[in-house]
Amino acid sequence: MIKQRWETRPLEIWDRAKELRAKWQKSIDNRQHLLAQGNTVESDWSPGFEKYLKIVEDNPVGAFMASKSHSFARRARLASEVRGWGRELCGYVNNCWGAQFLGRDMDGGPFPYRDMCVPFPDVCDQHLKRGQQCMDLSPIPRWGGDMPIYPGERDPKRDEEMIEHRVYCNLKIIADIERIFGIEFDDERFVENIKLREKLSAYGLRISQLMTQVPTPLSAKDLYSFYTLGDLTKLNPEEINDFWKSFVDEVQWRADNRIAAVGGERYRYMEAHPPAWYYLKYYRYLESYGAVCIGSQYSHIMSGTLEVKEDGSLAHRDVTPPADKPIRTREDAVRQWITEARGNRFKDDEYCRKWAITDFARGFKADGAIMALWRCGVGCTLTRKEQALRLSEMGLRVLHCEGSQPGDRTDMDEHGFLDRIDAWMESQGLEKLDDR
Amino acid sequence: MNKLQDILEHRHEYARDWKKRTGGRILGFYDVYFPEEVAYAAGVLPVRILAKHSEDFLTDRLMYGNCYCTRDMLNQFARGDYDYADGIVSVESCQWHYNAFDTTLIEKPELWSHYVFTPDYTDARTSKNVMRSELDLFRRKLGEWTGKEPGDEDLDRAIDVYNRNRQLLRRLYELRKFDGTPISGSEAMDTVLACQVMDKAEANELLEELLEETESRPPREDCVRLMLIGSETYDAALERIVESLGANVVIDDLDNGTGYIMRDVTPQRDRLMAIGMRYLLKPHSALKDNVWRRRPQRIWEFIEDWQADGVIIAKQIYCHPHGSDMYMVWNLLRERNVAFHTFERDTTLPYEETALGIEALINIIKPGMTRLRGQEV
Amino acid sequence: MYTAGIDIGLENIKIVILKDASVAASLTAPSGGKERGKRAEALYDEALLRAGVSRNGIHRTLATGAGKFDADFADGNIVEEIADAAAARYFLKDASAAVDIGADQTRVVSIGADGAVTETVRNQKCMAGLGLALEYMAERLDFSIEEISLIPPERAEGVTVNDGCPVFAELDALELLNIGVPRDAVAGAVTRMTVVRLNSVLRDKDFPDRNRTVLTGGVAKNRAVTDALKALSGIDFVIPESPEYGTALGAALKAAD
Repeated sequence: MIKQRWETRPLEIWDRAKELRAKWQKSIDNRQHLLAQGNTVESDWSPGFEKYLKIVEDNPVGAFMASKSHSFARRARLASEVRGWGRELCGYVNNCWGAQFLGRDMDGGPFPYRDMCVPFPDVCDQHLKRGQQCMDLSPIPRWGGDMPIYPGERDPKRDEEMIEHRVYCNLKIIADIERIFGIEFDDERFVENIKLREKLSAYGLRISQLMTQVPTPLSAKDLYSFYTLGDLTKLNPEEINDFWKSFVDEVQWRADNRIAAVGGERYRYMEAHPPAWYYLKYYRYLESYGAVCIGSQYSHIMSGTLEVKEDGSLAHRDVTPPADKPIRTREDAVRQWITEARGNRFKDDEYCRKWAITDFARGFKADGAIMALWRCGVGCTLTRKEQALRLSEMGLRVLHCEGSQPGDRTDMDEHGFLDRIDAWMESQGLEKLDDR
Repeated sequence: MNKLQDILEHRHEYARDWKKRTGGRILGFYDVYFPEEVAYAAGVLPVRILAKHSEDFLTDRLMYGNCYCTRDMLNQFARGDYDYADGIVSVESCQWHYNAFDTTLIEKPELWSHYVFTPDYTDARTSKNVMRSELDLFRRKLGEWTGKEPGDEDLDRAIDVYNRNRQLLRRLYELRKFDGTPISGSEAMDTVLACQVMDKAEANELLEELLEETESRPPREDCVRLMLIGSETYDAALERIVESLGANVVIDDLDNGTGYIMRDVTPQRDRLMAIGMRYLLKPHSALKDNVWRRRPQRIWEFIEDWQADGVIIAKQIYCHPHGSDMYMVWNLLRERNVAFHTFERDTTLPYEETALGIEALINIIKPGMTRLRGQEV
Repeated sequence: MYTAGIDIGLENIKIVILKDASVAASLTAPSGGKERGKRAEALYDEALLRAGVSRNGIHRTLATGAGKFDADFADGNIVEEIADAAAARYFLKDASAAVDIGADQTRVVSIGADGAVTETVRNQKCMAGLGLALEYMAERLDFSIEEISLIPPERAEGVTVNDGCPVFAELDALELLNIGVPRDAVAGAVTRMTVVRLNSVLRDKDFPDRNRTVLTGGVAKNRAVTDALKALSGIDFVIPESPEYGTALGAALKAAD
């Protein structure tokens, strides 16, 4: 029996979250829409086509496959490997697009072949090539895009052409889809989504801020069930807004009443990137040590790009213009959405602000960190070792674990991983709470 | 060995000597998307950082999942091989290149550095504006560093030298179209690589001499003509293995090969725009070929124009762009019934293991012909 | 007081019985696969016999190593790093780092002034199996492990093998043999590869103190490796007489806590 230091109880909002998730999944499964390969975060215009089009991103499909069916994921990866794709490519890609060669998805239904590809621009080389897999199979319309980046401080002058470029690319995509597919873009719905996005970002920030408290009212594992709702899974805006408001209210209440996500919390650790989706049980294993994961720059992505202020509090980085700027045209709307060149993603920080990881550790009061090393994840792994050194310098104990990629179970040594966790915990003087 | 090959082999000595002779600065670069002309116009010598196999006990601390090439680039800087470099510059291209650049700055913070964002979406109407803006910034930063910002005349001079270099290298490649070409694949690649590590004006003189000299060479007795596709290379070791088997690499689709020499800067009043357009529109690397594909058509044209009998695809382990394009390349070659051999390269290129696969390919193309280490079987 | 430490490694089981912190018995035998728990128990009983003590006479037995959970008969288990640190302090009173190089794993442990572990590093997967690779290569080169441990890297005379991965290194080594490179030169190259990889682990986080680092594990018996590693890293390792027992000894020491 693990001794509890804090009161804990399950979240009340679980069922509503599951309902929303199922609703979104059904909207994809009913196959009544055009399907676009792309990234929902970079395609905030997509609700403008919501009557006709759904964006189905390969990342979560690949991750879900890894989590639910290792054998299907393996078959899919083999199907892609024998056709030439490097076996050391991103597991999400090989899972999802390997399945296109099998002709079916994980549940046995027909594979959701895409009707078009919108860009998934990212600093990760793999993301940049996304969607070519379905294009190489059979030609479908495809567009390009960029995630401009440069190291060092932001330079508004330098950003100007980059912003114009991003605005142009997105306006072109919208206009081309209208022309090629003969469907009308609902500008009002688009504007609605932009405003919702801003609200969601504010809600997300509040959740992130509450998770800086000790004990944390929400763990990273809990967060994974919520962080995509509204952003990735674009649904009815009123419904989503209402959900997030209730979610924030509940987490606020938990924080005010010191209701912990993990009753034995005595050690807080952060992470870097997507976890091993096929082996999430390590979170529960660490809870037996009283260790709780407070997330990563990745899992807090719903909050936009965060910054730790001088008083130690977490806030949005101050680059977004006021939300009350008048929107009169589609271009105004796109410009309201695209306010920065470098984009509002954590990878910006990894490349550009060397100290962002230590900011994060400080803001979330981390005692340690798990920095997974994903051999086949380019974007997952870049700068990870350097970040670990920076965290070590500030006094955090860092654990490395290795594997192929969050969506690829191939060479994950699960026993070895737990062994390393034991060594990491016990060498810090922490024994399992039920051993005491 | 021609003079350019000699310079390639002694490139560090060449660079040190160049600095002494000219008093100029040297800028190391990683990727062929780096707009060298702008640096050259500022009186700075751009030198491509070439990887080789050397002992590595440093990079595990700072890198994970990288290809060996980028690990070795860091190693070389840490060991002092590039102690003559005054700065390094990276562009938006291969992520592992960026990692090498970034970690080198951890080890050598005293180096001057700059990053040029070269759009990944090269073909948008606005891509060239981004590129031009980046080149303008780069020019200004070079000016701050060197004390003299390159003007139009300097840019014109650089464009002329670089265009001339590319033209001469294309002439060299043209020689390889013919049966009995006097140029081996290894010599051609060594020559291109040499141009990437030396002053182009000096290289042009040597190239003119080389081209003249090739006219008096006897034709090679190659039986099998091969094309090389895949990850960037830094030496001609693979070409030499091919030659030891009686075949010859006559053309390539490598960033450091045709990707480096095709397409000139078309002079226009806005010099920076002209340079930017050249780099955006030059043969796409695997990474930049990320919208409507241009690589398949180009690969096929090379195969036909250079009469390649077969293709060797050599992908570096952990090279994600080329791993992603492999499906496309295989489909293309299969559709057109071109024999090919794919293998993964790593730190070392063991002769027997590598030669075995290539020999099998050669025998598919020309059954019964095997030649191992100069012996006819 | 008698205590016992059992280190169930990938290749070998090592057992140390201590009487009042002095070694009363030490034994080693191959691990085996599924049966390693039983083998460990049999070896444990044999060690007890040699030490002249019964199971009941042992205050506490701790198991460590990859197979620690197979030792049902032990009183508990302990992570290797803590055992390594305890062993290092046993061999060198003010040791500030412990390095253990075994069949499949290399560990570097930083030790604080109070003897507690302050940082740990384990080898990356690409470097797994260095000890096993050396044994395999000795066999392929027709040397005993003792003979190969006397061949320094200098004998390679410029010949090199892949130093990114022991598997590729083996391929390179075989290629060299096939083209007529003398086997002791190949052996020198393999040793050099091993030393380069080990040096890499040493540099991963806190670099061990040059004068206060203890080296244990089976590979520490390989003179060629240890001499070359000292030269390359600049660390003057303290290497105990039977270094393969280091982690087991550490477990036995901690069993007294």
